[in-house]
Amino acid sequence: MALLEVRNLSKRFGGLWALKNVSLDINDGEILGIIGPNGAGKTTLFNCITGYYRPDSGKVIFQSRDITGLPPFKIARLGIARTFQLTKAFNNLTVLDNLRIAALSRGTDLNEVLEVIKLVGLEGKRNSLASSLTILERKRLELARALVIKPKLLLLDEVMAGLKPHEADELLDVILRINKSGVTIAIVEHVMRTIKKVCNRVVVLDFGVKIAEGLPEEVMRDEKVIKAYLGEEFVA
Amino acid sequence: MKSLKLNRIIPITLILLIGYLIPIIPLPPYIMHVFILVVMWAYLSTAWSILGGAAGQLSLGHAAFFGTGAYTTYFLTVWFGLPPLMNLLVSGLTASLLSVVIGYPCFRYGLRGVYFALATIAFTEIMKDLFIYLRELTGGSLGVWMPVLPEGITTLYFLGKEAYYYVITTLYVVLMIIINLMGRFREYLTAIREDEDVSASIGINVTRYKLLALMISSFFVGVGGAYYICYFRYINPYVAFGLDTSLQMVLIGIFGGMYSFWGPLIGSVILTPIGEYLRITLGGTYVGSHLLIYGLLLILIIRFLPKGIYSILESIYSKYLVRGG
Repeated sequence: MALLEVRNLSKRFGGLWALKNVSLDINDGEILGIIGPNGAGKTTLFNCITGYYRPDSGKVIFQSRDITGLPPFKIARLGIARTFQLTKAFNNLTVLDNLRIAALSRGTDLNEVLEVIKLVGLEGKRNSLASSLTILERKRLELARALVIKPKLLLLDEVMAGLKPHEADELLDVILRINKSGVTIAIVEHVMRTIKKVCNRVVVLDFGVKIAEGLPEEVMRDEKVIKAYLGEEFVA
Repeated sequence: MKSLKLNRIIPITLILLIGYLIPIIPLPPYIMHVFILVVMWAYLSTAWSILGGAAGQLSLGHAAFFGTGAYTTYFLTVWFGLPPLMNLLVSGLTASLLSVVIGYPCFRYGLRGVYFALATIAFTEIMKDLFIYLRELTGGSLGVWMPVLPEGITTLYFLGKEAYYYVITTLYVVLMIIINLMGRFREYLTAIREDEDVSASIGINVTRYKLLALMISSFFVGVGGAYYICYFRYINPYVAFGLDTSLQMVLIGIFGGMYSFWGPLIGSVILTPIGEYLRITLGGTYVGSHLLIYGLLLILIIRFLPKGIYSILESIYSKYLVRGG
């Protein structure tokens, strides 16, 4: 069953179609990968789903409810959490305070916050300022903050980018564990390796258009996908 | 945690005692006047800092609410003969309502940072021109005088300065108590100041809390304006809606530390007497030269202590008092 349905979603910036008639489902319990080259519209898609952008046309339906054009805070309260590609945080506050405020806003228990901190592996950094964290730690904080609001759907925007392979693997484990605890996940990624490892299903975007959808192995053999990523000459 | 709480209660009680006991010392009226100014600017700047500091929305137009408060009290007292003590409250409410007029469109459509600051300045200038232009109603650029009333707390008319000092000190204490009762709301304001996008992503209604911060802030500034006209007995649009008035609240906040609600008090205790001293010693001979020194002080603070004087006290406090206690 689809937890979230995106129907004919379009968004343009001036003359550029960042998204053109994109439709896709995110099914309950799955990990959906959304891939595509730079500028394919992946982040725009997330911004349209979470209300940071208002789509020009199309609909976003979450748990059979039309949430198109709702403000971001309302969408967050309905149970869709997101991370930011360029990590954002309350920089002058400690890790714990960052998460405490998120918990306060959604009525999450402080013990659960401590559990989330443990889950993402930030125990040692609880009292560090968010601004002092490394990239990996900042990504973990992004993840923790999204988890603290106890979402049904978690949208991860390139949480792997910039990480070394072993760091990425650590984070992947965490993501799998979150999924097992019952959270549906959509993950925007560049790195094929991560997608293959965790995703049940993959959607490929190119220039704002959905060009393929299916199992990771299938999609990666798809001619259009290879063309989009590598260019015409690589198509066998 | 317990010792930390006690460590907070002791200095607060001390400050309160000192504050309330000052008029017991027989001071010359002018010195008493300076004390009143210190507390008044601390009060106004603290009220400003709810929006400007805590919520991080740089308003450079809080004079709009100050002036509205002052004129509301004048109108209610002179036209309707209502008691000024009550008018204080109505003035705050009027200022608060007015703040929605400027605040809602700004916050709803995401006017941030300098653009918000410019909008607040423009709004205040419009108010000023309006009050100058509507001469029949507002007395125009000549300003308005409060009538002589029977002395007493309901009329807020006193012959000595001590009573005025007690009134503003009480207003300041009330403001601080209310700020300390805000709890969760303060945390949300901190979140909004730090990052609006993140705040929204965890379900905080950014527009609503910014607007609430503005309404509370302008309420108290409006009450402050009402107090001003009760004490000075005179106001004109250039003071009521002047950029100087707006900036004074901001500068004291920045100087003392606008992220802490104690900052403005510290800022005012230092800056207001210096400003007054420079004005009476230099202001007459070299016009404007006192502003030069004032400006220099501010530049130094902003350069070396971006979180204001309060940050020094805080680091001393956490080093010796908390650990020691």
